[in-house]
Amino acid sequence: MTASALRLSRTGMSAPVLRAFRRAPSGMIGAGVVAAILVVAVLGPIVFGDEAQERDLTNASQGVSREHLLGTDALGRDILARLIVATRLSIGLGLASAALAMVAGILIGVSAALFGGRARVIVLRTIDTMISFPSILVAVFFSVILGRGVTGALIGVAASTAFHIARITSTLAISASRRDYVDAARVLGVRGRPLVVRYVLRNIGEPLTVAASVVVGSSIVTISALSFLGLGPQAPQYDWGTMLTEGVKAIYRTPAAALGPAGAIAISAFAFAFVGEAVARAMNPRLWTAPSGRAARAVATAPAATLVEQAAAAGRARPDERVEVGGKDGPPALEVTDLVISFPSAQGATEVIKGVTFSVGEGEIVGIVGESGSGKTMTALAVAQLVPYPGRVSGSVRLHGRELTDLSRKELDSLLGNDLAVVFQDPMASLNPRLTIGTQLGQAVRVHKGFSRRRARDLAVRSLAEVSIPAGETQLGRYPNEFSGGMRQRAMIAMGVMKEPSLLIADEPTTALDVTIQAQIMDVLHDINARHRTSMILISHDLALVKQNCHRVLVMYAGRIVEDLEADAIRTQAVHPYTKALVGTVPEIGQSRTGPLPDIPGEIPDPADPPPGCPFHPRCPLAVDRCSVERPPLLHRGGGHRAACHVANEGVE
Amino acid sequence: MLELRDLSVRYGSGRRSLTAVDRVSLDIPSGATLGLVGESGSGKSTLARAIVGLLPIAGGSVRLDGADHTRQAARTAPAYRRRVQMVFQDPHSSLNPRMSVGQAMVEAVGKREGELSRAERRAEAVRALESVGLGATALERYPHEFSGGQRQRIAIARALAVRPQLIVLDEVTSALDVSVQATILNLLTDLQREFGLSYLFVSHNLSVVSLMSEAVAVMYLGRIVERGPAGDVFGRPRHPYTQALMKSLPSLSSARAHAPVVGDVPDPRNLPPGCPFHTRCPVGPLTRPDRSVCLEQDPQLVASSQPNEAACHFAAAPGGAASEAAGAHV
Repeated sequence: MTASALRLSRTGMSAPVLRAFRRAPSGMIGAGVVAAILVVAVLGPIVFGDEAQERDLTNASQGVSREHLLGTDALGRDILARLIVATRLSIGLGLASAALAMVAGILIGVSAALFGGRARVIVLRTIDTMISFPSILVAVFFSVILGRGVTGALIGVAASTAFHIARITSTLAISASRRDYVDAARVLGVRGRPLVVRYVLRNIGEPLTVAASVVVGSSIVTISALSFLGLGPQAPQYDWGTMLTEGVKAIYRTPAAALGPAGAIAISAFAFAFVGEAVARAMNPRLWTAPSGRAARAVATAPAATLVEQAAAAGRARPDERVEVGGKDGPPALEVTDLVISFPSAQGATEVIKGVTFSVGEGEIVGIVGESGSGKTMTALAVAQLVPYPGRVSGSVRLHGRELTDLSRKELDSLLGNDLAVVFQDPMASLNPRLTIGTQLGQAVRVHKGFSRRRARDLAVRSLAEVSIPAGETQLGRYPNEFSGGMRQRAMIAMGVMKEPSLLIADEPTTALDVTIQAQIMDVLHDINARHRTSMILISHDLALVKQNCHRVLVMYAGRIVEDLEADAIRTQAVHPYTKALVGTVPEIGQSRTGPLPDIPGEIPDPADPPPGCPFHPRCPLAVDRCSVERPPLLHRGGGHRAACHVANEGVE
Repeated sequence: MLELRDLSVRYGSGRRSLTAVDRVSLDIPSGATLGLVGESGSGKSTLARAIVGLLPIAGGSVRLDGADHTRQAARTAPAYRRRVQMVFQDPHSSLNPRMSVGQAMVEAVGKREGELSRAERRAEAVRALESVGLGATALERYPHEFSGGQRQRIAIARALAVRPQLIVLDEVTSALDVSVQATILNLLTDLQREFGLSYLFVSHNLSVVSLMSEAVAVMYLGRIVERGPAGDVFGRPRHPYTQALMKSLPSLSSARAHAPVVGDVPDPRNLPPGCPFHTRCPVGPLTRPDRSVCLEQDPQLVASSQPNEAACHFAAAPGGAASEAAGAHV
């Protein structure tokens, strides 16, 4: 049973591995060199064995000549021939000791991962102690104990590298064995060797293969070094190391005698390393299929961390989405016009945001909802000028009339410190674990406003009070890891609002938190909004949260706004079939469950290959012929309500 | 079919030990769903893992159809594994990225009772995939080639492949979009009907639990604070913590309410004395200094005339008002 499952796995794996391997040029070159070395190792002694032994004392210690391409040694033997013959011993010893080291290292490393408690600690400490000795010292130690010669060198070198392999293996195996799929396999009843091989070893195979190739290379080098010291093969046996010893003696007269073996050692070490790396890459199933738009989507949804290049504001005219902005009360705080974000892809460039226009009034809380991949986070990052490299942004983003897309890096830093604040989903990723909360809060105002230490401290305490962290004075000295998730998110919000920004962008600020804590954080945000008339963008996958906490909702689908309406009206007045479908999927307590729950069949379109016409038409229950041909414009329906749907907008000018 | 009595699960030992699950008693009825609700740190996932044998049990008992399975060896035995399966939260990490769907499914089918030929195993794997709406074309593909919803279907198919009677579902829709969540919930309901499965449905999402469960238990800091029929627990919650959870839950049909409870969940290594909820409780000593009993006595779940039991000295009467009489017996 187990054997046939493995057989299935092998036949399913080798072909794509080979195909992926062939795509890597460095691997192919390395493989060619390794193949040549192996051929030489096998055939060399047979073909050149006699020539390598032929003494010609009249021609001793000669330099490079036509008959002797690398010269001759002290006994007049041809060095090239001897180098070729020595390949078998050098490579053989290297491979054998590497194999020994890998087997021993993996066994020790995996056993550390399998053991729990004290046994694991003992194994790990032993490994740590062993690797603290320099490898060559360990190798010398073993080969001296076991006696000069081939066996001593072999075991000495294997012992010196085995513990390094054990260290890598134990670290990788311990982390791999903590993965859910190992637990899932255990629950199925998979145990023993299949569990270790299929679930743990196969998932750490990639780094171990690289390590193995490096070990082959380094073993060849270390064995040569032992021979160089006279601890390796003894005459009449010889390898590249012993040849190097002889060559070095005559290096001033006949440099080729030393450079030949040195070159052979270096080239084989490199070749094995290249092959190992290419094999490791080829083992990853993700690389077996040609890259598709999914990769572009992965880039697009990756969290941004760095301030990135400014986009050339090549404003594209999109008359259908041009909209007079202007809120209920006075000029809007934020105006986003024709925002387009693209990422380089196999097709040239893939647009993940395809022309987004909206505004946020002063003191207004605008929610952005949509499924993952709809572009809601990317839109918010673009507003904060935080689109990750290599994304390109075009269009206009104006905060209180000031164009943000033209700002210099320095002006941007100051903007993000003062006028605009961003709160991300995971506060731990945004806080420095090595600095106290007080230092991090204080830093912000001291840098941007030039406040004194005392004044910054007072402000920090006040900000903490504002986000309902009591006893701020005592909290300042604590580190982020001493805070709960809710406290960290409060601290992040405190940091964001201490300079009273006019716009706060909160990207899934409560997704990682419990509902009771979420309610507390929402109270804090509303409090800030009410007290300072701070405009806010709240991004969430939770329609109910957005409905309850925002004035207006933007519903995004496939990189575009498909509906823009008052939050309170989302259940009763939404007209877009996607919005209606989303509303239908929100489960409610006490909902009577007679039939199946409403869902949205199908998947969101691939941004690299969107369907023609309306991007929602393949999933839409109302789609008519026109929907698959012509993309519906986002039209005003009165009262600030916009929708992009041919069917819903029938009769709307 | 599954009976837990005074079940405790502990992490670590000595002074640094942590009782993640504290004397929990639950019954999972045959062919029905028990919902288990709680926030992070409540012990609900620990309990789920202990049931499927991923964690040892420190005290109490586990019985499956009357047979005792308290010993760790009994819960890791093939006979138990075949009957009790689990689906994990994140289908991105619960499927081995280095095994094709076919390899994973064939392996799971191979854990069934009796010997099957290779062709039979493959046919069974396809049948399990078809029951979750996927087909034979999935066999040759790897997990990364599927969307999150499809991966969760594969994980469900893998659990089904051994033909279990009980499936522990640990936050199975938390990593998915709402549109996909509905699809997975519908699938689970259909499978339950088709195969007569029992579910332990673990989730932090009250509304999803209310849709899926016949009976519900609410956990807080390792204990069950309220349990009963789903309609009663969600319709007339009696424990102030259940009430707070329901008030905190965003809803499309109601307006925003202020946060009903203050503060964070206490450190489980350093539990408050008396009732573990008293540090946050809106009807406890925080607002009612006269209710000092909450600081001194740990309330137990007691049977009462109501269908839902609550571990609270001042549990609300079914009408909703806190019952003074309920506290009078102490």
